[in-house]
Amino acid sequence: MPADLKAQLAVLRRRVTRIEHKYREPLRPLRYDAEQVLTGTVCENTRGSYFLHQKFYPAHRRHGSVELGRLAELGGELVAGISRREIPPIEPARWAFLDTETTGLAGGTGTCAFLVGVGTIEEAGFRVRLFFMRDYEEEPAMLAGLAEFLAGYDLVVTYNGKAYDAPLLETRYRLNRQQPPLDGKAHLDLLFAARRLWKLRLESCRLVELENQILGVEREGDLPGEMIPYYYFEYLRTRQAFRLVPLFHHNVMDIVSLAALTAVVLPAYAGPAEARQECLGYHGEDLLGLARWLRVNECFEEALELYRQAVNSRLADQHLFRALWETAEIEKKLGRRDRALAVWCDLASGKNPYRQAALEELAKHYEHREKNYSMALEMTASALELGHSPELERRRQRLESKAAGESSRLI
Amino acid sequence: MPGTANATIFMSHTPLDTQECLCYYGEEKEKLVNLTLFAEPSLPDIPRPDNRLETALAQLDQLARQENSPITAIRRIPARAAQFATMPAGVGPALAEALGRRGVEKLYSHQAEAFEAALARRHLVIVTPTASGKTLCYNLPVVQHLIENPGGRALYLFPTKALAEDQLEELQSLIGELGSQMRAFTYDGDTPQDARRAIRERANVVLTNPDMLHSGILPHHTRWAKLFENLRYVVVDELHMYRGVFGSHAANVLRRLKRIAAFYGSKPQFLCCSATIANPGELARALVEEPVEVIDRNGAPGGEKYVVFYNPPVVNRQLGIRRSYIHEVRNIARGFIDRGQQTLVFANSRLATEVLVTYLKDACERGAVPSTTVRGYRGGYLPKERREIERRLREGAIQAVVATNALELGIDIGSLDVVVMAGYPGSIASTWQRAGRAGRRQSLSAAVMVASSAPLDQYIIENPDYFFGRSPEHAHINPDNLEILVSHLKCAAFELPIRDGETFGPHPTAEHPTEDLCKFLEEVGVLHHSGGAWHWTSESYPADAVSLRKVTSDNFVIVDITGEPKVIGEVDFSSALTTLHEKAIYLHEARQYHVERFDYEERKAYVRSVACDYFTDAIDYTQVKILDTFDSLGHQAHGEVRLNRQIVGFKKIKFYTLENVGAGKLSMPEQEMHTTSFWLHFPQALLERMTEFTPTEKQAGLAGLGNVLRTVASVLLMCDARDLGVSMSEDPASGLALFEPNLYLYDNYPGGIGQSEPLYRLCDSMLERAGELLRNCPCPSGCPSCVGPAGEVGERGKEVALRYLAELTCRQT
Repeated sequence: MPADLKAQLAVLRRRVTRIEHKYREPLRPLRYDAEQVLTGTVCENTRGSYFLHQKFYPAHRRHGSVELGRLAELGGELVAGISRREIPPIEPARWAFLDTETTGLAGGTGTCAFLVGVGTIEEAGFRVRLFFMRDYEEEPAMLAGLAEFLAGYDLVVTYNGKAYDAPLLETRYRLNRQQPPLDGKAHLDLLFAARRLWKLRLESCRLVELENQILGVEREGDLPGEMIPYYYFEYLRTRQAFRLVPLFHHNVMDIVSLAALTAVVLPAYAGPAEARQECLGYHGEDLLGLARWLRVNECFEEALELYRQAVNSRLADQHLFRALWETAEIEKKLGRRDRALAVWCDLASGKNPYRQAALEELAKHYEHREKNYSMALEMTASALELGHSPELERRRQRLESKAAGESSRLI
Repeated sequence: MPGTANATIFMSHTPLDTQECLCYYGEEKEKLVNLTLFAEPSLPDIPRPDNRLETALAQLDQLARQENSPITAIRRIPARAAQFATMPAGVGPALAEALGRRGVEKLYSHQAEAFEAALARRHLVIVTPTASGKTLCYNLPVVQHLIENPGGRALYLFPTKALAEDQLEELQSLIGELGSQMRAFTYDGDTPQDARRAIRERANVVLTNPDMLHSGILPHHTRWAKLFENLRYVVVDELHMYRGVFGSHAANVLRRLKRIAAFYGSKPQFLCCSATIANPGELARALVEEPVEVIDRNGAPGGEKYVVFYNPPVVNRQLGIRRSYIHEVRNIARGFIDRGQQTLVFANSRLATEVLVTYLKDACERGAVPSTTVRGYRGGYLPKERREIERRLREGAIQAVVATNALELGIDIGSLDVVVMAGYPGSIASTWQRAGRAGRRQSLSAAVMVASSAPLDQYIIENPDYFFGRSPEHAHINPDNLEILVSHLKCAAFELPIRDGETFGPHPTAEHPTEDLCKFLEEVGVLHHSGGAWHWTSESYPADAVSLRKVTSDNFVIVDITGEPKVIGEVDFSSALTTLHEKAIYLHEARQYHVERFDYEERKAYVRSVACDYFTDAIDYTQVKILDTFDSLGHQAHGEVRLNRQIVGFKKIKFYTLENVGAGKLSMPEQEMHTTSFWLHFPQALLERMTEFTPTEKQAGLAGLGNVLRTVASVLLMCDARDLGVSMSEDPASGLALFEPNLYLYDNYPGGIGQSEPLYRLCDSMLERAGELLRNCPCPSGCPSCVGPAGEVGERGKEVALRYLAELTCRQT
């Protein structure tokens, strides 16, 4: 066996330096620490210490289109409404907006949340607390501090937290043999609701995108997400706390945007109908997204109203036709056949993706309701011109024999 | 088992003459071949049809007694009576009753021994031949533990997914018999996402493979908290598969497993099972790094068995050409099949498998046995198809199966009468493993090995004593290989910070090795020290960068577009290039498919069913290029090399006559591997001094030297010989006029596993030992134990190799 590990390591080192041409700054002694550059306090608990940074926004501060004071006025019922009663009504003072910054996106036990931001609603405004570990040894204390703080809140609001932040935190708590604070706590992941609302209109529903498109906020000099682990690692290696400034800023902005977005999304979903327009503005696609959610939740009349508003706004063709088709489906379900018929007639008369299906619906109507087989046959034939389907073919054969039988009876 | 093989011995060395009358056969002459083997006139007193295996063997025996018989050896392994033991007291009444319902009233002695040892909390390795009830050796203690501890957990590791599936069925039938609430599941790449959560939470027994443990389970251990908190047993089946690079990786994965288990407060007990190898105890101890008790007294009964060596007769004495071993295998197998004996034919390649399936189906078409009862079995078949073949074999609905080594492992296929091996399987252990597939029940069985004309095959078949007298091979691993160790240390740090003073695979030379390695990883920028521990500080997922095996998991899917497109099989990356290139004839279940399109990017091949009378064989070409010389001294050097392997063309080969009926060129994507290599340079001056040899002899001798060096190097490095590649090249600078070759010994592993630098350092000792090996080998001019068979390295191969060594060593000193 090789005799000397050190010699072998030297060989490995040589090879690594050859491969890694990337310039790396030499290690420096501990020069600054977080509290000297960033405002905040060093907190102590039984597991050690961690760093806590706070930022307060008075109620009159606007974040883009949203005045932060609006948050306190949102009713507790809203979270119950949007979650279809999975979450009980909880007053805004008991909400905690949460977002983590992590050492990577790979997942698994080697990914660490080194910074956890929590936003809460106070009477005078909105407060963001950043729980930060200045080094890995502070993780247990930071997690314990976070858990203790979250114990005072009943609802956690996140953006993609169900898939990302919550499992990651759970892993961190388990690794540190602590009880995960999100276990059994109500959790509203705004991503799903936001995506339903805006996916038709926006290419991406990432938080920064919504912040820009919906709230009208322009972030300046923001750190791209993929650079975050790198900044933290560089801070660990160099101990230069100024590297943390953009990280902290990034996280605070995420929390504030999440809260502001909540003030838009919640009333849109679960607020009174007249508030909707105010929240959503006049984008037909957004109304459509909401209309569909209402339809799935069987709030048909409300959905129809939104469909109507959407159709009256300037919708792109593909959305317009689908909106019309879905309206007809609701009307049919509600037994208002005449209204459905009117829409089908519209759809059957021009070129659109639902034309064939509309013709088929008309054929059904003529066959079963009006017993007008020749009309039904005509509709079926028109539908078949648009494309073959075995079902339509069977219908035509049946109708032909029915029509023949009828004419023979007439004779 | 080789030790017991010493009853009746018939042996004759066949000089390469006679039987010329049998010369070359086309299809129509095959009857004549049958006549020689199962010569009817030789036993006139036996009434026909006589379908007993005894009769067939008697005929073979007759044939063996003839002068110049193609049969070079028949050995009888006597029947062995079962050694029973009373049911151990630790087997509770519920389990004993369940076993009773399955017809198990008593245990074989080794099963009872294993159970007692497991209950005494000892780590153990069970070494008994195929079909001796090994599975029960670990299932009994595990199931008994789970009866007593309904929340208990066990982890089963199998080297392949198929084995895990097979053992799941076995375990579930036992659980079913118990009427128990125990849950057992496989967990691998095929497990649906939505089922994974339930498995993590609820499975008492998780059956998986080391690759999945490495990249899917350990890095997410917090999700598996229940498993690790309650982990009592870890079963490692087919232990002998864990050797070389794969074994060295697996040992590190087990180090990580033990570390994680300790975090959750458990210390699992290892139950291993191995086929017969020379050093099962040593291998088990190296893998699990614990004292391990070896249980190798087999209590299972064995029927009487004959092992027959058959060398196809010479058809051209001048050129030393023998009759095609594939044809001979067909005839021999057909003889057994026609007698109604369930027969398993082993071939050494996919292609040979498919060709034999075709031949046997054709032969059966004209015989009494329906050709549908002849099936193929190899890696490329879909799992569902393989399960069906296994089941029908067990039920006896299939008469014959032609398989690759895919069936060599412990997949349950029930009892078979005869095994025919087309070609030497490559190792003694593997040969016994395959032979063990015959004769599961207590009746008479036979294993016939038919040699190909490859030098190694010829050596073995002509020197049966060498085979029957030697113990099976040793399996070596080297878990402390620095590059393997470092890559797993990264994974370990990712899983759980490495505490100060913690050791991970103690290195024999350093005082605080883990600390040294961690410091090194800190410099590289992936670890960071804080609060008395080393933390993973990189965004990457280190397990993704480490593959436990050489092959990528990138499979090619075969789409049949004859009718509605449907997937008919899968082929792994490296074989896909040789079997699915455009214009290839792909054989699947003896049906021919023409490859219409090979979509490299999408990993798909589109094939169309055709009927033609040929198959294709790819031609490949390997080249080594030096990228960077790290160090050189005299003739020796080491550094980084690039290996290029390319499929440059293919041959069309006619069925039966094996004529080359055409060829084609191909421009296939080149497979490139960067690795590290050690090499020796042979300058013109050195070669010129060797005036007594012709250039051809010099070149052949160099190949021989490569073979010796590989053997010696693998001993010096304690690695598997297959982990080292040997290649020769001409020095590109020298042009054609000068023959200045390099002899490369490269790490057969992408990126290298750090074997070259030690080889460079140990070069003197390697050359010295190579000389010793050559001088001590009793053969006159080369054998597989030294330079390789004379047929491969020339009649003077050994002499040339010795001369090279003399030149190299005198130059160095």
